[in-house]
Amino acid sequence: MSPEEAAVKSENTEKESSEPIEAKTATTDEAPSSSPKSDSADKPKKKKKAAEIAVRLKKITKLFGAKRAVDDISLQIKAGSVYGLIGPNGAGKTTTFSMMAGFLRPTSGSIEVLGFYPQQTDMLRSRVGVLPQDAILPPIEQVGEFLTTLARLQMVPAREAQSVARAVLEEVGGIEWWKVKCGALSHGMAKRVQLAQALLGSPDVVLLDEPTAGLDPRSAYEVRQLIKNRRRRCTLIVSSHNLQELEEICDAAAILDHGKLVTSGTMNELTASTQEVHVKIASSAGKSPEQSVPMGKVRELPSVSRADWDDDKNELIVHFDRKNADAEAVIAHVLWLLLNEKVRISGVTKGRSLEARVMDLTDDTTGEDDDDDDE
Amino acid sequence: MNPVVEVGLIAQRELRRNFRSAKGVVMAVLTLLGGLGITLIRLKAEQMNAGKFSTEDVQQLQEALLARQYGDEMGHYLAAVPPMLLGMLVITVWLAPFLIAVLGFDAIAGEMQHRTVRYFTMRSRRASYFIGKTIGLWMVVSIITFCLHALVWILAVTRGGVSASVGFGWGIHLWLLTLPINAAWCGYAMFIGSQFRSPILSLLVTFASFFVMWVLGLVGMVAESVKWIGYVYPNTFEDWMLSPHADRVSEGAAICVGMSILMASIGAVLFTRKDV
Repeated sequence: MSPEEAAVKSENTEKESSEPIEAKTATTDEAPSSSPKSDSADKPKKKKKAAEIAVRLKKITKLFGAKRAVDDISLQIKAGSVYGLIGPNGAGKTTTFSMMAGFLRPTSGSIEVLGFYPQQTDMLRSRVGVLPQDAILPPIEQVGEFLTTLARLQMVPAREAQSVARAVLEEVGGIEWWKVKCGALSHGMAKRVQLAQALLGSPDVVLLDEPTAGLDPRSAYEVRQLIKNRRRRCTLIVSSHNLQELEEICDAAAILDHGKLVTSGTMNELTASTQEVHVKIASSAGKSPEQSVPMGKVRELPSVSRADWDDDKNELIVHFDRKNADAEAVIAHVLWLLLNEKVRISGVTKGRSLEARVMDLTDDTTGEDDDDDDE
Repeated sequence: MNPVVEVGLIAQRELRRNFRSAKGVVMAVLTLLGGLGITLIRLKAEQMNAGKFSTEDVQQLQEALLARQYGDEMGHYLAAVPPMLLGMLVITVWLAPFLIAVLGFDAIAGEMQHRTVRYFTMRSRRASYFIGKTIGLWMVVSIITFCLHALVWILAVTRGGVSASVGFGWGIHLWLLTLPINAAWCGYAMFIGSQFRSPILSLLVTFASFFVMWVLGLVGMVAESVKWIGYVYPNTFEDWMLSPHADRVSEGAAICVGMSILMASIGAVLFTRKDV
């Protein structure tokens, strides 16, 4: 599946093949009488649905007292995709994430994970893995016994639980910590153990809240590689402040701000990489970058719908109709023209960076609240 | 997954957690040393008074004292119990709320505060987690109590002049009586403690609640017209369970276990609805 295919659609465009599910907020661990169901008889049907949509949020709102932490968010996340939750501090990422994981109950709206309510633990216990932000590992338990207990709770038979725990600890590069108490682990080591428990038993959906927060560059890189290794083997939902990281690993993302969904889409849609080409221009002898670019000729190029000049960045921004041309063809035309005109080119990128997109879309007054807004 | 297995795994973890934590070890050691110290002092006093009074005099005095406390029939029945063992029962029942409050106040609140609970609630039913924790706490307290009682049985048999059959027979009997009382206190402690995210708040409210229950127990004991008030205090049922009549013992045990089940059930339902 290409990143484009691993798309996400907002609820208002809902027309997936799975039937709409009239679900209300679950109030107990037990399966409610209405769907999503936990009936074993429905499992094949549910599996089919799960193959299409892994996580579905319907008009989710979460209030903490008077504070509206999440406001009417609807999302659908396709199975097998790597999906990012993006937004400034206090945007509602962690709250949304915590509701998907079943830690918090929505005040209104409903959530389905693999066709079940997040609180239907018995149905999801071995199918969903979660790396919660700031959840401290039990300090006096040894890493090995902690992971083994979790494996047992995920219904791994007692005789296999240790080997399953060892395998996942090895995967995160921490097998030598088996006998180390969780309280004695450094931040980076603890993060890997937390990641190990999230990946325990190869779950279908893995929720990762700030997986690289507080890690040194090497550890962050290694964790990113681990996440990449899991691509296509499961649905990964990653909440992070690190936009470069998300741009690198995600197929699609939702941008949140002030508890609302600002936009969502594939990474190409968000960065407009299939609609824009940015050409950075260097100064040439006696001419400013702007003067050296023949804007009129650029606008006359085939498939170019608009061309703008960004004074701050010394960038030529070429917009094109993706139905008529792909980015590579437009780049070829533009570069050919500019080189013939002896314009000095510093760099070429498809679309904007995710960071620029997020900066455009989110309010710069946010950030004073900690993102840890779920309690 | 079978909820019983789930509860068992959580209870096992609670056992490990308590016996490995500094708090659990310190509480266990303090309880054992305290109980042992009191027993040794008592033993020493008995040895010093040995010969001053005849065995029959001591027996009669003990029976009279017990009759005043529990009534004639029970006084006569309990006079056969070695005083050292009966004393240990009274001490452990009296200390149980304190021990349980200290061991149990952070069982859930501590994991809520640090969100460690999240690793478990996504893998076990919330109710199983709560009940597993309650059973785990009860097992920890029961084990500590057993160790304390066992030391006293051994002392009574080896140095107190009590025959092995009497010492171990009554010893086990009296230890078994502590189990339902401890279960009731554990139910209360977990219910109260789980209402808070802050362990210190949980500890303070648990102690305050237990104190109020003790006062209610006293009121129920002295005021016949409001005797029922005392039934919220689990130690009230110690007298019932010391009775020579099996039905009275069963009633007392059943009420204590019922209290525990009730509190654990309400706690589990509330915990299931809670944001963690």
